[in-house]
Formats: sequence, C-alpha cells, structure tokens
Amino acid sequence: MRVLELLKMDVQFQLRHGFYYAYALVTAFYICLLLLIPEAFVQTTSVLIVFTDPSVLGFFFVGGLVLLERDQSIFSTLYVTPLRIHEYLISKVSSLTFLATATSMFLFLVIHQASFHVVPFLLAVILCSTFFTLLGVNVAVRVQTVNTFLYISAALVVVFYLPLINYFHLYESPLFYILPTQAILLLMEGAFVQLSLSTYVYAVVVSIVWISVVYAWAYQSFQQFLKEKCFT
Amino acid sequence: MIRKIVILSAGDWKNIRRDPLLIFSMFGILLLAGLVRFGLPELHVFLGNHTTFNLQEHFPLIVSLVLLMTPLMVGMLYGFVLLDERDEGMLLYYAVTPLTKFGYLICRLVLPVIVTFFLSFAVVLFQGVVDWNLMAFIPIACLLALQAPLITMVMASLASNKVEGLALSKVINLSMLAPLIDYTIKHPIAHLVMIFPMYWPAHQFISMSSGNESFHSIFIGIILTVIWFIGLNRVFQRKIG
Repeated sequence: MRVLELLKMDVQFQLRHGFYYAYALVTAFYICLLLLIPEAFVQTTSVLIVFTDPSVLGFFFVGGLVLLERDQSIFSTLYVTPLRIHEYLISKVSSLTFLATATSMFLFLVIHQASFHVVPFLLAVILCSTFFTLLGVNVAVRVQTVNTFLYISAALVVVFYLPLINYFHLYESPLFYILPTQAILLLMEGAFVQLSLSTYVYAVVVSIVWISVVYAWAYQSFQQFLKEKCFT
Repeated sequence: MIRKIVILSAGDWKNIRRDPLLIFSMFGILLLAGLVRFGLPELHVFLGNHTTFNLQEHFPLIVSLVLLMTPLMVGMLYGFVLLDERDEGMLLYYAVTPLTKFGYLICRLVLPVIVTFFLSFAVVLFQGVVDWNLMAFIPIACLLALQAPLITMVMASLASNKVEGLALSKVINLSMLAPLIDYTIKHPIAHLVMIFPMYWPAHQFISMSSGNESFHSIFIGIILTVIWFIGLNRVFQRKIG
C-alpha cells in the first residue's frame, strides 16, 4: 500500500524534526497548568486547550511541511512516481491527526482519567484536525514564506474560533452553527455531558460537509500549485 | 563592515515596506495592548461581581507578559526569515559577498533590536492600566530589545529548517511564561525559571510598578542574555560552518 508507506515516512519525518518532542513538552506543561488551577475551571479549560492547540496543530505544521518540501524541490521528484495527490493529502492529514489525537487523548486521560466519554471526544479531535490540516494546505500553497503563512492562518483562525464566544455564553447566534468549529465544540463538550442523537447527526454532518468542501478545494489548489510553481 | 550592514539593513527596510508582515505583527501587538487597556478594567469589574478575586493586583504581571510578546513576535518573525533564507539556499549567496556569514547574521539581528525597543514603548504608552515612568522604563525597553535577537538566535541555531522552526516556536512560546510561573508558584523550585533571560525584563517591570527603584534585575538580565547569546552563537557557527 503506497499510502501506508507514505504515512510511515511522514510520521518518521515528523518524529525526526521534533514534532513529537515539542508536543510532549507542551502537553506536560498543559497538564501541570490544569493540575494547578481550581477544580471548578478544569473541565472548561481542558476543552479550551484541546480545541485551540493539539486539535489545530495540523493547520500550523502542514504549512511548514509543504513550504519546506517545495524549497527542497521534493514535489518534482515525488510526482514522477505513481503517487497521487489524494494519497499525499491523506498521508499528511492522517499523520498530523495521529499526533493531534495522541496528544489530546493523553492530556484528557491524565486529567480526567476514565470520567469522560471517549467517543465524542475522539470524533471531535479527528474531525477538527482533519478540517484544519486541509485548510492549512490551502493556505500553504498560496504563500511564499512561513511568516506570511502564520499571519494568514492567524486571521483565518479568528473566524473559525468565533463559536468560542458561544461556548463562554457571551453571545449566542444561530449563525455560529454553520461553522464546523461550533459542531466540534459541541462534540467536545459531549466528553462530559450526554449528547442527543440529533446533536451527533448535526455535528458529524456539518463537519463532513466542511471537510469535503475544503478537501476538494485543497486538491484543486494543490494541482494548480504543482502545475504553476513546481513543474515549471 | 558597518557600511555593508547598513546597506543590507536598508534593503531589509524596503523589503518590510513591500511585505507588510512586520506592520501586521506590530498591529497584532498593539491590538493586544488595546485589549489590555479596554478589556482588563472590564474583566476586573466582571470578576469582582462574581468572585472575590482581585484582578487589579495582577495588572503589572499581565502588562509585563504583553511586553514580552513584543520581542517574542519580532524575534520569531526574523527567526523564520533566517530559516526561510537558509532553506532556499540564500545563505550561500550572502556568504560569498563581502558581507560574510557573520555580517549577515548581525544584519538579521540588528533590526529586531531597534523594532522591539520602539514597539515596547508603544505598548507601554498604550496600555494605560499600570503606572510607569520614562527613566525607569528605558532600561527595561533595552533589556526587552535584547530578547528579540536572542529568540532569533535560538531559532537559527537550534532549528535545521522551517519545519523544526515551527516545532521549536511552540516550545519558545512556553518560555514566555517564565515570569508567570515564578509569580504564581511559591515553591522554591519555581525560581529555576530565572535562568531564562525573558524572566528579567518582566520581573523588573513588576518591581518598578510597585515602586522599587533598584536596577539589579536589569544587570542580571543583561549578563544572562549575553551568556545565552555566546552559547547560541557557538551552536550557530557550528551549524552553518
């Protein structure tokens, strides 16, 4: 299986370049923080941490990965092999989502032990990481430098983090429910409360629709990117 | 050498004007200062109504953390410029010009110092929730300004490419919390964070706001920054050697 080979290589590459060590350190820090704050805030803060950091790490890292592979002229060599763009995208998304899931699960297991619902939580992290990693590919193929990537992604994140306003009950609007992040936040809250079937259906459908759109867009952008910037 | 550095720095300035990134990052920091100015008093009232927590006591700490964001953002910005140029193989071109690799490095470190110095003044002028005085803040701004090239150096010497730079930036972000750790945790082991140069400008700012006029922290901060810088420069030279 070509895609499995590629996935193995991606994980090895990420391991070699310190992603796993960096996140081990960051997670250890978050755990210390959560152990120190008053117990009443632990639940909300842990959801907030997972939602704003490990779940979106793919967004942040995929930019660096694509830009570095471009600078190292990897694409022109990679695509003379039978490898397809689909496989490349799937491998990037799965490898980064794996790191996101491992980190988030470890954090939640240490903090909440067995007192949370694993299924909605895992679903939330996987959907969130998949969506943001694909969004990251879309940004990465359009920029020249890491700095530009970081600022554009910061601007995008602000839009997608709007449902946090709802999460903290500062302002409620039905418009938030169009965003995939609202669906993901609901699923993440499902780690501590029983979710109704309709909530599950809503959350999964909205996320899948967004992921499909952003995947198709990433595929098309990537094709364009290879044509214009790598094979010329 | 100086003339060459000035020429490249002037080129950098043109680059910045063309690429609005630095302007963006300045905007980001000022936005944060604005949030402190208008948001913190509100939050203080809100918390006062709902809990017994007195946020106002901790305003100096919060402002000092915002001040630390200045060298952090500017330093990382230049760190990524360096890493991008290295990945693209630009470093080789600079090395064969009369500028040399060392001159190139100095160039990439001078601008962050200047930018951070002025930007930290902008932040402190804008924040408006903590009292400060000009004479006491100048040395703090100098120490803050020295942190930016230090962060650039950390990235340039410890990361081999932009991907490692991104992973490293996650860890560097944590070092910014050094003053917070020492502030909140009373256990003596928390004093370990004092080995980070980032701790000292924040510490000096907090003690300045409580009326302490001694400049010990500035001296310790400068000495520590220099020690870190020498160590990192060694690693950097080996890396690009």
